[in-house]
Parts: sequence; C-alpha cells; structure tokens
Amino acid sequence: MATIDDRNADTLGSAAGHGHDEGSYLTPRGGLITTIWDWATTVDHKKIGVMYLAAVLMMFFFGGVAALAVRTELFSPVREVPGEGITGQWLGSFLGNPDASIAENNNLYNRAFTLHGAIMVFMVIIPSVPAALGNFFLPIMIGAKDVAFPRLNLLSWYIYVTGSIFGIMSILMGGVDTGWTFYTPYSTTTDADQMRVVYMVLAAFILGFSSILTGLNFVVTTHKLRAPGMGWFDMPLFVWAVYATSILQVLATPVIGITLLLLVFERLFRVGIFDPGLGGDPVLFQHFFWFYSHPVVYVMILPGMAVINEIIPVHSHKKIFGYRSMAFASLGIAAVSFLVWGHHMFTSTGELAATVFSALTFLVAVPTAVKVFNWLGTLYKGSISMTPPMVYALMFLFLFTIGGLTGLPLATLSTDMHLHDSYFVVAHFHYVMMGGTIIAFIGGLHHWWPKMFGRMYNERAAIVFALVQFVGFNVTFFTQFILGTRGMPRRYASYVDEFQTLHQISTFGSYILAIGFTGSLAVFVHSLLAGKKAPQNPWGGLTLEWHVESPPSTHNFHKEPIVHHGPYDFDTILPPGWDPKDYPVPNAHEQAEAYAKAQHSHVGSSHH
Amino acid sequence: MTTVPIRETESHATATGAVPWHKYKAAHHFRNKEEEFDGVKLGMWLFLATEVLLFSGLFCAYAVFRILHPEAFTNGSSYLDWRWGGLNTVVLLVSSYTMAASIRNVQLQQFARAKFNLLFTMACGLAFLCIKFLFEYTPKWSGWFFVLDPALSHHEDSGKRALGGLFHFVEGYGGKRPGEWFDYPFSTDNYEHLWWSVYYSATGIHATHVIIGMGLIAWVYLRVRKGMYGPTHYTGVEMAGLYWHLVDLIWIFLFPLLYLIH
Amino acid sequence: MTMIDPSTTLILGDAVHDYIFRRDGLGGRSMADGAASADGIFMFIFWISTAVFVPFTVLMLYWAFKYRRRPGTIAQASPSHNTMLELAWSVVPLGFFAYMFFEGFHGYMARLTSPPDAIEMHLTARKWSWTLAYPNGAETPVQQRVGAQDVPVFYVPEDKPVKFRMISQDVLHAFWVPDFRAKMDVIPNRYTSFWFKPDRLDSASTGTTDTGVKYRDHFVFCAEYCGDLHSEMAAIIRVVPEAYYHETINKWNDAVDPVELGRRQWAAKCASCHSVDGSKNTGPTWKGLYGSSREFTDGSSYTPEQMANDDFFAEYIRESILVPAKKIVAGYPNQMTPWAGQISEAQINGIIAYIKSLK
Ligand code: HEA
Ligand code: HEA
Ligand code: HEC
Ligand code: CUA
Ligand SMILES: [Cu+2]
Repeated sequence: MATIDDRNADTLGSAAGHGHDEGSYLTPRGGLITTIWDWATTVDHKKIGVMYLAAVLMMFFFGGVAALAVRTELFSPVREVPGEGITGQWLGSFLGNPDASIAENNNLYNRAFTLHGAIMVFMVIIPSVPAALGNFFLPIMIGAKDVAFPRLNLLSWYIYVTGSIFGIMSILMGGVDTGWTFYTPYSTTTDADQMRVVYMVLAAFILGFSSILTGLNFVVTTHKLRAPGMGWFDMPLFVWAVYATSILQVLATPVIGITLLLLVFERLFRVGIFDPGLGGDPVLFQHFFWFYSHPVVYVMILPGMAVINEIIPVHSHKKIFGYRSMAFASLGIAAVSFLVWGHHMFTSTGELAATVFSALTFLVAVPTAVKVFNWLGTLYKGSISMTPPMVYALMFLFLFTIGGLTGLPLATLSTDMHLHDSYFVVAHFHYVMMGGTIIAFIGGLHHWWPKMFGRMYNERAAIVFALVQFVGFNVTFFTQFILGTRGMPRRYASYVDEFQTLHQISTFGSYILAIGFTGSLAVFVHSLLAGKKAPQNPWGGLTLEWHVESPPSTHNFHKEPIVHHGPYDFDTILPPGWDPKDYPVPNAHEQAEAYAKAQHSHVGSSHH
Repeated sequence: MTTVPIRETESHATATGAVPWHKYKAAHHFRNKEEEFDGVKLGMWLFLATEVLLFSGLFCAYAVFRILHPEAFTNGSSYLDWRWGGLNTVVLLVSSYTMAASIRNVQLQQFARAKFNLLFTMACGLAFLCIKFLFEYTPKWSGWFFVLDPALSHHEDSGKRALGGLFHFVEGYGGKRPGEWFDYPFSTDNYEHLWWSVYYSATGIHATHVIIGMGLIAWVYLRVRKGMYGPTHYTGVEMAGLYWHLVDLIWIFLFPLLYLIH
Repeated sequence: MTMIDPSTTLILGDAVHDYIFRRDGLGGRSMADGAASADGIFMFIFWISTAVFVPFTVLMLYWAFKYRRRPGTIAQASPSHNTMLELAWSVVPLGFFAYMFFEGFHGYMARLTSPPDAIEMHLTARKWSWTLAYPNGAETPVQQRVGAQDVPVFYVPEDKPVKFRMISQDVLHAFWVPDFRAKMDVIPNRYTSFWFKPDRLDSASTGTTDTGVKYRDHFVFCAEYCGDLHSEMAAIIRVVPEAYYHETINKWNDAVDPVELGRRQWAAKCASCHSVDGSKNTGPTWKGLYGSSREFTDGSSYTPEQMANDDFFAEYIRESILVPAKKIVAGYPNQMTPWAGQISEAQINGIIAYIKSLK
C-alpha cells in the first residue's frame, strides 16, 4: 500500500518546543520532589516503561549476582565448607557460617539457585520486553497517545514492585530452597515452621497479577487504539508478537495463580491437595505448574522475537521477509504452546500423555523454524549496517537457534529420559532465555535507547561489549551441554571429580559474561551523562516511533497520525529525517521536501 | 481515508474527577466515549476470562480427586445440605436480576431505583455470606450451630451454648475440616479430608469474589449518588454488573458440583 | 523399526559420540540394552541440527558481510515473500521432526516395557539415600566413597534384565543412571519402575576385585531436586558375573551379628543424617549417645543415668526411629523420616546394639 504521495504530514511530530509547550516526556515539571512525585503518580506509558526498565535492570543485576555465586560454588567439585578453600572463603565471608555442616552449606547453594531462577524468571524476563520496551513503544508504534488503561498500567507497576518486595522479604528472611518450580511435596514441607516459602510463592502470585493486567491492557490497546489507516496487517511485527504474548499472559497466568494459592493453603492450612502424606497428588501440582510455565516460556521468547523483528529490517534497510507468516507464526506459537506442558514431565506422567505431549512439542517448533528462516531471508540482498542492535540481532539468531535445536532431543521421548534434569536442560534454557530473550532485550535497548533518552551512546564500545558477552555466554553454557550428556544432574551443590574441568571453564565464562554486562551498563551510563544528542531517526526506521522527536513529547503525537505506508517499506519511503543523498529511494527529493514542509523545517537532516 | 478531527489535549483530571454523566468526555487517549466503552468492555471480558480460568484450576482438582476417590466425595458431599446451597443460589440469582435492573435504571435516568437496586444487590451478597458462614462453615468446622439453623432440630441438644445462646453445640458434628485439620471421628473414608479441602478452597475463593464484587458495587453506588452515571455514560455500572454476573455464574457451577452430584 | 547405529552414520560419528558421552572415571560406551538406541537417535538429531545450523550461520555471516551498507545505496530489489520457499521450510523440518518423534517414541516404549523374566528388586528412596531390597530380602552392606560421602553399591548380574520397583518415603526423587541413558522419577504413594539389562562384562571397561572377580561400575544420581543433600544422594550399580551375584546376595542374607546388622542399616538408611564420628550433620551424631544426657525442644530432658539404662535406652531409640517427631532433640529440626513400617524389629535391635558400640 505504499505510495509516497499520500504520506501525510500528520504522521510527523514537530521539533521539541515548537508551537507547544509540553516538551519531552523527560522534561522535569518542577523541583526534585515534584519530579519524583510526578513520576510516582504518572500515567504516561513512557514513564511507566522507563520505571519498569529501571526495576528490571536492577533485578537482573541481583539475579546475575546470584548466578555468579552459583557458578563460583561450582568451581570446585566438593561443596566448599565456608571459610576453607578458594570458593569457601568467598562464600564464607559473604553468606556462610563457618561452623556450618555439609547439609547447611548445601542449603546455601540451593537457596542461591532458587533465588537466581525465581528472580530471573518472575522479575526479569517476563516483564523485560513487554512491560519495559512494550509499554514505551507499543502505543507509539500504533499511533496511540497512551495504553487503553493508563491508571491500570501504573497499578501494574506498583503490583510488580509489591511482588518484588515480597520476594526480597522472603530472601531477607533467609531465602527459599525449593527451586523456581516449587515442586510439592518438597515445597510444602521444607522449613515447615517458616513463612518465607509462603512469601516467595505469594511474590510469584502477585507478579502474575501484574503480568495479567499488563497483558490485558495491551490486548485492548492493540484492538482499540490503532491509528486510522493501520489495519491488522499494517502493524509492526513488534506489535504482533507483543499482542500474541499478551494473550498468553492473560490466559495462562490465572492457572498459576490458583496453583500458587493452593500451595499457600497447603502450607498454611495443610489442605493436602498436593501432599501425598495426606492422600494428595504431587504430580497434579506439576501439571498445574507447567500448564502455566510452558506457555510462559513463549511469553518470554515472543517479545524477544518481537524485538528482532524490528531490528533486522531497520538495520538491513529492507522489508522483512514473509510478514504474514511471521504474524501467523506468533499466533501459532501462542496457540500450540498451551498443549505441550507435559514435556517437562516425561519421567513422571503416563505413557500416553507423554507421547501426545512429545508429538505436540515438535509441532510448536515448526512456526519457530519459519521465523528463524524469515530473518535469514531478510538479510539477503539487504543493506546491512553493523550497528550495535544489529550485532545483538545476529547474536540472537546464533544463540537462539542453538537453544531451539537443543530443545529437540529434549522433546524426543527416549533421549529426554537421559537428559531430563541434567545440565543439558540448563544449557538449553539459558541459550533460549539468556541467549534469546535477554540478548534481544539488550539489543532492543540499544535500538531504542536514543529514542527513549534522546542520547546516543558510544557504538564501538557497545559492539565490543556485545562481543565480550557473546564469548562469555558460549564459554559458560556450551560446556554445560556436554556436562549434561555426560551425566551431570542439575541443582547439585557438589559433583564427582570428572566433571570438574568443564565446570571450571563454565565458571570462567560467567565472569567474562559479567564483565560484558558491566561494560554495557557503563556504556549506557556514559550516554546518559555525556552522550551526543540523538537525532530523531538514527537508524532509519519507518515505524511511527521514528516519526516523533527523541525523546518523544508527553503526548507522543501532536496530532493524531494517519498511517499511509507499511512498517517496512524501505524500498520506497525515505526514512523520516534522512538525507535523500544517503537514501536514494524513488522520489526521495519530493518526499524530503514534503517532509520538511510538514516539519516547518525544524528537524535536523540526518544522523551522519 | 478520512482525516479524524484533531482533538485538543485534555487534562487527565477530566476522566478522574466527579464529572456529571452528561458532561463526561472520554479519557484523552480515546477517540470518543463509544470507543472507550468498547475498550473497557473488552478489557472486562478478558478479565472475566482470567477469572474463569482461575476457577477452572479448581474444577480440574475437583475432577481429578473425584475420579481418584469417588467414595470420599460422595461421603463428603452428603454432609452438605442442598437447601442452604439452593437458597444461596436463589439469593444470587435474584441479586443478578437486581444488578441488571440497576443498569437499566441508570440508562433510563431512574436514579432512585438504581440506587435501591444496587443496595439490594449488596444486601443479597451479604445474605449469601451470612448463610455460608453461619449455616455452613461454622457448624461443619466446629459443630456450633446458629440458633436459627433448622438442621439444629435434627440433633440432640448437648446443652452447650455460646455467645448468649446464639450458638448451640452439637456433639460429634464438627471437625469436617480440610486436610490435616480434619478430625471427624465418624468418617468412613480415609480421603474425606480431600473433599473438604476442595470444598473449602472452592467456596472460600468464591466467597472472596463475592466480597470483592460487593466492594465494586459499593463504589459504583457512590458514583451513582454523585450523579456520575446516566444514559450516555454508565461504563462503571455495566462493568460491576458483568463482574457480579460472573460471581453468580461460578456459583451456578459450584452448586451442582458440590451439593447435587452424589 | 530399525535403530540408527551411531557408529555407522558417519565416519566422524564415533569420535563425536565418544566426546559427547564419555565419562573418564567409569566405563565408555553404552552400558545397557536400549542405551545404544537412545544414543543413536541423539546423534541423529545432533547431525541434522549441525547440518541445519552450520549453513545457517555461514549464510548469516556471509550475507551480513556481502550486503553491508554502503552510503548512498539502498537494499537491492528482492522478493519480500515466497510462498513455495516458506512452505518448504515449514514442511521439511516437520518431516524431520516427525521422524525424531517416532524414533523417540519407540525407544521410550522399549524403555518402559520390561521383559517378563526380569529380576524384580525393590528400591526405596528417601532424603537422602537409596535402599535396594534383593529378591531374597538381603540389603547391600557394601559402600564406596563418592565425593565426601559413602554410598551404597548395588550388585546386579551381567546380561540379565533387572527391574526396580521404586517408591519414595518422602519427597520426589529420580533414579538416574547416566551410563544407561535413563532415569525415572521416584514418587511417594505411587510405584514407578526402572528396568535395564547391563551389557556383558568385557575387558575394556571392567575392574577386578581382590578375589579376581570382574566387575563394572555405573554411577547412580538422584536427578529430582530433594533438598539439602540432593547432590550427595548417589549410589553405584556394580555389574558382576551372575554366579558371583547370587553367591554374594546369599552371603549378605546369612545371619550377621546385631552390631554388624545395625551398621549396615546405618550405612544404608541413616548415614546421610547421622555421623558416627562425633561430627554434626542434619541429625545428632550417634557417637557417645549411649549414656549421655538428652535435651528436647519441649523442655524435657533425660539424664545420663537414664540413658545408660539398657531398657530405657532401647525404648528411647526405638521410639526415635519409629516416631521421631515425639521427642525432638534441642538444636535440630524435625526432619527425620518416620520409619514405622519400613524397618524390622531385628534391624531396630541391630541399630540399638550398633549405637551402644559407638563409645
Ligand atoms: C525462552 C524460553 C524457551 C523456549 C523458546 C523454549 C523452546 C523449546 N523448548 Fe524449552 N525450556 C525452557 C525454555 C524455553 N524453551 C525452560 C526454562 C526449560 C526448563 C524449565 C525447568 O525445568 O526449570 C525448558 C525445558 C524444555 C524441556 C523439558 C526438558 C526436561 O526437563 O526434561 C523440553 C522438552 O521437550 C523443551 C523443549 C523445547 C522445544 C522443542 C522448544 C522449541 O520451541 C524450539 C524451536 C526452535 C528450533 C527447533 C530452532 C529453529 C528451527 C530450525 C532452524 C528449523 C530446522 C531444524 C531442523 C530441520 C532440525 N524445553
Ligand atoms: C532469564 C533467565 C536467566 C538468566 C538471564 C540466567 C543467567 C545466568 N544463569 Fe541461570 N537459571 C535460570 C534462568 C536464568 N539464568 C533458571 C530459571 C534456572 C533454574 C533454577 C532452578 O533450578 O530452580 C537457572 C539455573 C542456573 C544454573 C544451574 C544451577 C543448578 O541447577 O544447580 C546455573 C549454573 O551455572 C546458572 C548460571 C547462570 C549464569 C552464569 C547466568 C549469567 O548469564 C548471568 C549474567 C549476568 C550478570 C553477571 C549480571 C550483570 C549485570 C549487570 C552488571 C547490570 C546489567 C545492566 C545492563 C546490561 C544495562 N543458572
Ligand atoms: C532426613 C534425615 C534423617 C535420616 C535419614 C535419619 N535421621 Fe535420625 N534424626 C534426624 C534428625 C534431624 C534428628 C533430631 C531431631 C529429632 O530428634 O527428631 C534425628 C534424631 C534421631 C535419634 C535421636 C538421637 C538423639 O541424639 O537423641 C535417633 C536414635 C535417630 N535419629 C535414629 C535414626 C535411625 C536409626 C535412622 C535410620 C534408620 C535415622 N535416624 C535416619 C534426621 C534423620
Ligand atoms: Cu533425592 Cu534428589
Ligand atoms: Cu516447556
């Protein structure tokens, strides 16, 4: 549908300060107290997005520190007694009690990985892309002023914070040692006289609420607030994938809600539904848990894919390959993902169920394959800029594909009998979650950072740290595949000597990874303090967020935008703010003139 | 493609303060009131879907344990008096009717009736809870019967009284509690406590929903009193109504499952 | 259904396979019936994935380089979708996936259906140890150090199908023998089973006992998280010649003196929590327990004199074993598994005698 002449002047924002007095959404409205109050009570989706971003990054840091503790402990095969040995001294001085027995010391390790898993899953990866980037960009990308329910949106953030506080309370009270899966009857009997398991479970329950409300908000926003001219198949694919995610969040989360409630009842009132001691069924808990937690892995990956859907075409300056199959693949993944939960339970369910679940699991891999190949197809004959976001996108393709392919032997019944609950699984899910979603998230952050904060960052440094992360990641987790096939079980505080070399390599890798992330953090901090002012459209994107100022004004658009071209028509549309010399599409000069007129000649020419 | 008229930016207060219904404008990011209403309604339906899914977990647990321990479930449910359940069903159905009526009233500007119907709906909610607690939970949990409970006449008077004679104690009736707390001496099935776990969880979570629903209706009632709802703007009443119907609907499922199937 | 043999799939096959599965300390290649087929399907998936992944990565990097952006140019015209291509890359993977599924399904069913002549043994799991009861009722007294823990050694005959019926006394555990490429959850209140047929002893992967009997060891790990000592919950399966197997388990079953019986009980069931050398663990040490004062969380206490009275002491220990929650020793959690119904009177007497012997 892309014709240039009907590019409407209304799509363009005017330069900051022109004609309106609102300014960017970041402009303080008064003194420090006023500003803080303003943020704390804001219903602006952009500010809420930024607040999510801050919270998620902070939790990522905590989760990462817990991961380093886990890896450090695994440096030596025997559990270290605090105060002795290299890691023992480290653990001893930070966490341990020098008189601790073997059991107590293992328990410390068990809490560390539970903490790590629970933080990373419930507080980092689920809200990362949808709640932080999605909140900020979904409304702008569809040309809306805000999400459908702004106050509900703020409420979701507070619920998220409340949930996190419950989690932290539980940690301060001593932490939990159940694993992030809370399997009964262990989770209902451990630390029987303590409340901290209850707090952690409640934390997950509350965070689930936040996730439901966010999802609900996005579904309604996507349905009702698209700008005139934007049909379903004119939406950016980011919006499609976040939309599919939101549906999953709304439909799957209530089930974990009731499961966690019953778990709390179980602990507080000993109702016995999951407790074999009282005639209950512990495997029922697993069914309930995975009915949510499998769809939730796609809640994690779809937004990651959403980000890649934007980065690859924009930085290849080329229309995405297979738009429709991408959109349908997102929905397909969302739909089938409800039917495969049993693949986490091949060694505890009956044969028939296991067989059906195995078959369905393979089915869900097909739309994923479609996506992967479409991204590759987009690169073909593109015009590819090796910007930091693009580097992250290529990293994503590499790592996620490994993660996905190693899901196949897990989905195969006879090989899962060997690999289940081994480090092979640990490596698989880090490749998809960390190598997939987190890398996409950090890549998306690089992609949209100039838009969000109006500042550029040092691109070369960003690429260097991305590569450090890439190396560190593979050193850490590739070794774990081999550990797994050779027989290393997961959730082990100590292990037999022959696994030692691989574990040590893995531990070194995690330190490299930590350096990489610390570097990225430094790049961003530097950008905030001393970054160059960002142009409106540094990468040459066409979706609506690149039509507004960097950073956007409070109401995003000064006039309601009308959409006249598809999100990826790079071969006919001059990206807003770009110089026709750099971007010789048909009629580039006329487009530029029309554009300049619409802008009242206020926007600087290009990013070069 | 028509260009939509440019709207002035409105302050957020428009949507939040006590605006009389005929002056109500949609929140600034919606194009108009109709669209806002549709959006809110879609949101509410999605939320109701999550509620149904929440309860579906309980229904699954019910089904699984019923299949595993049919005896325990028949035994357990035989202690429930279908008359109390039936009465509560009627109470909720009536309240659903008055709730629907109040929406109609608001649309027709019959505010006095609307307020009455809302209050009546809340009263039904309260009645439901009272019946549940006084005539069902208390006797089963502890053997103390409210003096007005007709079931009392079927039992021998133990002579023990509490709260100034309002509660009478029946020997050997109590102790039908969930899980580990179960200590009913005359139980004939080892798994009966599971039935009570399911019973208390399901009805307890439902009762919580009744309380939340009453809260919503109270909030709507205050807004009707302030004149914020009327023929052209009644979103809140409608949403509270939807929620209340859901609470009713879930009970319609729970009632036969718990009281009628033996 | 023909199973793929990894050694014939590719020339590289053996080397890669050995790298992926090799474990230095023990054995080499597949060690039980069925393991070969699981390895075969694994290697099949591995090679297919490699065949997809390597060209994928090469193309990605090559295109990223070849089509790098040059200022003043835009992307070359190229189709933005191609139905045939898109169909192809949905259907072709689906074909491979279907094959993987069927192979996996067959391997799995073979894994679950034990031959009727399998020797049945009973395996009990608890926090944090395994006990194996042989068909004749014997339990293994043999122990070996793994890491910092002495773990039981289970003897099984070579080349004979063996089936474990498994149950847990407390939380979930899982019985994993990496060399056999299989595991199964061990669940409270429900029996699950695990069968295997160890390969014949060959010279490559065996050790020899002092008496010149050949054997081969395989690690057993607990694979389902079960709490503090989850990672210590190991065992060893020792494959021995059939005649030697029968001889040994019969020997174990012959009357042993009570102290030795008690020691074996301790080793099999109690050692994960109770030390006999005075060190502190999940439970109190047994060293010097006879005749030392006791204090309990409910405030009551026993004097050394009471604890040195044989009848009183026996009574107390018996109760501690059967209903541990009755008296909780001060400073310890109420963590001990109740053993009522899981332990015989003779065994209890043995334990009492054994504790007394630990001065
Ligand atoms: C982002 C999260 C994410 C994603 C996207 C996935 C994706 C997949 N996962 Fe994973 N998984 C997890 C997160 C995720 N998983 C987590 C967290 C756990 C462990 C939880 C715990 O126990 O703590 C887990 C565990 C797990 C198990 C259970 C293992 C066990 O405990 O025994 C299984 C089993 O089937 C499985 C399978 C799969 C499959 C088949 C996919 C597929 O969707 C992958 C599809 C992708 C591809 C296949 C690659 C691209 C395709 C091609 C390039 C096509 C060409 C290929 C061929 C022709 C071969 N996963
Ligand atoms: C999103 C999910 C996620 C992520 C990102 C990670 C990240 C990491 N994880 Fe993982 N992990 C899980 C989810 C995740 N994990 C889950 C669910 C489990 C299972 C738990 C269970 O069994 O119950 C698990 C378990 C698990 C184990 C297995 C424990 C066991 O079974 O015994 C191990 C062991 O190596 C491990 C290691 C790591 C490491 C080294 C990282 C590293 O990648 C971490 C690197 C990060 C940092 C070092 C932080 C540095 C950050 C900053 C400096 C600030 C950043 C700011 C900007 C970039 C702006 N994790
Ligand atoms: C899960 C860990 C665990 C296992 C396994 C275990 N115990 Fe214990 N045991 C404990 C704990 C903890 C205590 C202290 C609390 C108490 O008294 O119950 C204890 C206390 C005892 C006592 C009282 C000791 C004293 O100091 O007074 C005896 C006797 C005992 N156990 C015997 C056994 C025997 C016999 C076995 C095996 C057949 C066994 N235990 C297995 C954890 C365990
Ligand atoms: Cu037993 Cu883990
Ligand atoms: Cu899954």
